[in-house]
Amino acid sequence: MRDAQGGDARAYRALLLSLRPWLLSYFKRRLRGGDVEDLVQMTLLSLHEKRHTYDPQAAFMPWIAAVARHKLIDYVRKAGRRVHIELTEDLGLADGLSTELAHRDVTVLLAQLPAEQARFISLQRIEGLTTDEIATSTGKNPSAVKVSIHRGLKKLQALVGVKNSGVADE
Amino acid sequence: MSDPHDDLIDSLASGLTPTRPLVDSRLWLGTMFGLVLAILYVSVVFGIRPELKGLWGGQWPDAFTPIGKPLLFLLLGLTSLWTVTRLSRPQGEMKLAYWLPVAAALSLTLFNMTLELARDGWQVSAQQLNGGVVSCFSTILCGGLAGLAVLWRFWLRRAATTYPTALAAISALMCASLMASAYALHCNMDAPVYIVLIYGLAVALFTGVSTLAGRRLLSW
Repeated sequence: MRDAQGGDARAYRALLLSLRPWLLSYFKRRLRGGDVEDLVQMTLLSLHEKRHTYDPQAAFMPWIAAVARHKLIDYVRKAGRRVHIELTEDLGLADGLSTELAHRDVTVLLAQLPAEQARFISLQRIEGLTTDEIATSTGKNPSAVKVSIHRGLKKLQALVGVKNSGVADE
Repeated sequence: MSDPHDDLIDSLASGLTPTRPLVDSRLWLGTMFGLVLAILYVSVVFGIRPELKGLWGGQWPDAFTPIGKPLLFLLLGLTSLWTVTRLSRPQGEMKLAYWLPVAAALSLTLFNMTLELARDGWQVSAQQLNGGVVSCFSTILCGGLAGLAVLWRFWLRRAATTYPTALAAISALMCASLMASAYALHCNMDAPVYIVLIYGLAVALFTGVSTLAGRRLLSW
């Protein structure tokens, strides 16, 4: 998206193509009985018109999810009829999230944490190490590692706008 | 035969032009520049009140109100400005905390006004409403409108908020409050009843009308 803001049409096209399946899945999961394809197109148009509101220093998925959510609510309001809608906030791979975008967001988000905390989270959540293994490899107290990871994950949740969903330590 | 959905993507990508992202620091800088202009306008057209001029010579005023009144509206304006930056993007959340300074400022002034009314009664308090009402109202309304027009031109029309009504209200509150803080550097009417009924009414009126007009303009 940063390249797209700079005018790189190829990067932009690739981004839109990778977003389309995610948007389709996002709307299909939340809206039953509506024209999902229409919504995807409206969202792509809005993304295009409002692309300058994306902060290049921030994670991308919370931004596009907010655009999609706004278009969904707008669609339901304008449809003037009853549709089944689920406003779940999870933005996971279940919606067909592109792994490339997910990796980029993880990197951006972890960069906003203190280096050690980001490293603990990366070791646990990406490398799959246990708290004890992290403590041994870094020479830290297991309790301190556990607390640091817990707090770091809560900070990450706040950064992507997830409210009090609870953080599992392991 | 080409996929119509890919056609849309192709057309969006082929018509792509570079765009300048919204940068919060530019809004802060622009607003500070606007505030300086407002202060210059008030000081040239109306003049700064003597108690505040005395501050340059190190002379502290007897009462805190000459300083507190501009500070109150400045705080309100800056809080609103911060909220505008938070609400201008799609993922911006509406939080109760954003309104706490507004509620605190309002409660403090209302509390003082109630004390004054209880002590002096309405007849005496009403006499403190005489003076500068027209210039106070017109400066806050016209200055706020000028500020809001510039804010719309450079920021709001590019925003994509999930809360158009709140963003319209808070933007208007910001412009009116900052203009009120500039005007308060001149105004020597310090009675709480004046601050609530004249300043408060001007700011509230401007905020209300702008909210009604702005909520549609901010829809996207």
